[in-house]
Order: sequence, then C-alpha cells, then structure tokens
Amino acid sequence: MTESWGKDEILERVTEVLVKSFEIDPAEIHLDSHVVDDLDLDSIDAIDLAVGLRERTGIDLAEEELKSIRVVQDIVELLRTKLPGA
Amino acid sequence: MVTPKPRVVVTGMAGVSPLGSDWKTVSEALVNGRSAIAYQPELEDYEGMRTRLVAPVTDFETPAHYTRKRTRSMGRVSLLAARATELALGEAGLLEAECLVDGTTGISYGSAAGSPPALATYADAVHVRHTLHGIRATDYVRYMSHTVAANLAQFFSIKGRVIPTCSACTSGSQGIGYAFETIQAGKQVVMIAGGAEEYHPIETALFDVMYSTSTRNDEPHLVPRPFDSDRDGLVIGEGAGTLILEELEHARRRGAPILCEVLGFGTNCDGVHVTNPDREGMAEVIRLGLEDAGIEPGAVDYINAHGTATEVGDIAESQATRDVVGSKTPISSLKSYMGHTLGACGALEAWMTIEMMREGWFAPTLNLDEVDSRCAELDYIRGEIRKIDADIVMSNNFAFGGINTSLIFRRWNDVSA
Repeated sequence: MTESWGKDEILERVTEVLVKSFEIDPAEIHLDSHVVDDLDLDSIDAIDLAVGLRERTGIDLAEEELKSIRVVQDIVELLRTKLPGA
Repeated sequence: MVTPKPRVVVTGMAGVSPLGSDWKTVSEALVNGRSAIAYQPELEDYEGMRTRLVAPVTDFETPAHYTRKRTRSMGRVSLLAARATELALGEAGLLEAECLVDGTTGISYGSAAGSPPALATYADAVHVRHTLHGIRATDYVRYMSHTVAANLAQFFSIKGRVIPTCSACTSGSQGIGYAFETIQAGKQVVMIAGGAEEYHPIETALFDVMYSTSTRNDEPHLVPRPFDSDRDGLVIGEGAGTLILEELEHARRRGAPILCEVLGFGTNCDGVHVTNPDREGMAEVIRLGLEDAGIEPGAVDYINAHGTATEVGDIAESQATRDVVGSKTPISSLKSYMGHTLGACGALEAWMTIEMMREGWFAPTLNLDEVDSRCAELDYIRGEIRKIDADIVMSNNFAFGGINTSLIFRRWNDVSA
C-alpha cells in the first residue's frame, strides 16, 4: 500500500499521526518544525510516535533511527528510505 | 521529657463522587435521600454477570487546562484524583505555594487497581494477540499499582515522599492514616491524602463472582441496603477523595483554613481469612483508633460505617462496633447513596463525614427499613437526617486481605484548641 507514496503523501501521513497522537495543530507542522523545540515532544512521545507511524504506514523504526529525528523532514526521509523499493 | 507529637489538621478537602463534586451538591443529595445508583445496560453484555447496577460519576469532564503532557499517563482513576486534589489544594490555598513543590509536601494515596482499560490494552496485545504492536509508552503507567500517587506527584510537582496505599477498600483511609502518621513523625509538613477508583466491569465482576453484588436490577433506588434484613449485596461506585493534611503550626503561620483535626488512626490485619471479615480484627482496629486518639469510646459522637450491604460484612461490622463503642453512638453508611467506591470510599466518606460534623447533622442510611436481627443493636440513623452537635467522629473501613482502618476526626474549635 505504500509503494506509490510521494514526499507530500508521506508528510500528510506523518502530520496525521502527529495531530492524532499529540493533539498538535496541523497548521504548526512543517518540514522544518523541530520535534522538541517547536512541537514539544519528548522521549515518551518518541515511542508513541513510532507506534503511531507503524499503525499508519506499516513501517517500523529502530531506536537509533528514532533518536536521529530532529525535524519533521527527518521523519519523512526516514520513511522514504524504508519504503519498499527505495 | 517526651516531646508531644505535632498536631495534624485538615486544611483542604474535596471529592469527585457519584453524588456530585462539590459539598453543596452532595449535601443536597444526602438531605433529600437522593441515591446515585443507576442501571448500567453495558453489564448486560457479560455472560454470567448478575448485577446491572453501578454508581457512576456523571458530571466529570477533564478540565481544559489539563494539557496533554500532564495527563498522557493518566487513566480515568488518576484524572478523578487529580481533579479532587486540585480542588482540595485550592481550598487549602496551596496551589501556588512554595511548600507544595519544595519537598515539604508528600503524597499518601491509593486505589484498588490501576486504570483497567490500560491493563486491557496490555492483556489483549500480549496475552490474546501475542504482539507488542499497538502498546503505547504510557499504557503501563496508567495501570501500574501506584499510578494515582505517581501521577499526582507529577501533576503537582511534588518532591516529598510518595506512599502508595493500594489496599483495595482501605486505600483511601490508609492514605489519610499514613499521611497523618507521616506528619506526626515529622517527615513531612503537608500531605496530599486520599484514594480513587474508576468504574469498570471487572470491578463489578470481582464481587459478582462472589455473589456479593445486589441484583435488584429493576429497583436501583432501593439498593444497596446496609444493615437491612432485606439486603442483597453491594453496588460498585467510582470517584476520588482528597484531604490536605497539615502540621498545625504550619497551617496557623500561613493563615490556612482549619477544617478539623485528625485525632487518631488505627490500622491492623485480621490475619484470618483473605476475604471474610473478622469481628475480632474489626473490633481491635476500632480500639487502636481510640487509643491513638487518646479518647474513650463514649467520646465518639457519630460513626461513619463501612456498611457495604453484604451479609457477612454488615453483621461482623455491627457486632465489632458494639463490642467496643457500645450501642448508643449514632451510625450510618454513605454507601447506601453512592455505592462502594472501593479505593475512594475511605477518603470520600471521611470528606463527607467531616463536612456533616462541621454542619451539625448526619445523613441516615438509605433503604434501612428493618435492621437485620443478626446485626448488633446500634443507634442506626434512619429515615431522615439527624442533628447532632458532634465534636468527635469516627470513620471505619475494611478491605480484602483482612485489612482494617479506623480514623477519628475532631471538630476544629480554636478556643478549646
């Protein structure tokens, strides 16, 4: 189901997860939004982010990959590299 | 020379209960004999469940200022406790106080169980579906045994000691009792004390399998019937109650409202049977409470009974009460209005008992038409409220595991103090 996703579509799904899991206003979510400084997420939220992304995309993120995330674009890029055929 | 123990007073109290979440609403219910027991259609869906009766909290909404980060680790049981505690701290004038967050204040608080839906998430994933997918980081924190005490500590930035009092139906009363002893011992100056419980079908189930629930499902307003010859069991309720306990001189220095004094606390264990109540153990805990308070049994002006409306419980409690206090002290059970709120009951009943003492009247036991002849002869308050100019009140609770508590409060009168 993920084969044909483009960057915008991935961002759309990441945004959905962020809104649903953390009650973030979608207008505040941009590719350069910092997950800690701008979106106010912390280590517990990171785990629930991984749970939400898995539910929405079927993709598992490893601990090191989660720790590498700084801005929303990092999430989008991570998912892109893990899409089948990437 | 022995230094006298610090005196401990209540400077704030509040509850979220099936009868309401402020004293005015609750007192109107008690005065008008309004029961909170309701038919719960959801219980029809469980094979083998006989009862359909519950006393839910119907007016609770998570306040808008409870942000996601402050509540993400809270199930309903912790949310109810947070709200009751916020209201109690507000009355005590402590919400913005330095002593709340500098290590001066501790917590003694419990519930019979953590939040059941979070436990269900784990059980369903791990036990039924054999997967960890779908489990969130906060699910465990919502159901862990000390979830309420731990969440309250985070919510109010408490840095003192945390005493989880998770002893089923004495969670709330032990919460108050251990808070009292902690201040007496000089370990903390202020304590957030109480208990909470969240309704869930597993709680009706645990009593239903023991044939302890009321099954008069078509007559919610006529049950439970503590001490009545026609009783047929208890009804599960939910809620949270919080008392703010404070060392007397600290309360005086900051000009805090003093609502009453905590005079004594007794707790013990029957050591006989894991679920059956024991008259001897119950009598002993009442003696321990009186001894701790340094008063004679005749000094008690009113007793708030545990009074669950189970056959074995009512009979043993009434006999134990007569054994120690005699048959002349007025007694009633608030579970006849709001069911058995489990971990919350000791705290909710203490709150309401103290408020009634302050106003000089006490509620009757609802539905007590004819006292069971196997219950001891006591001065059961029936029919309508009774005006009593009470100085000293006792609140008793008893839990599975044979755990017993007796709390004694004295009306605050600055002249005599």
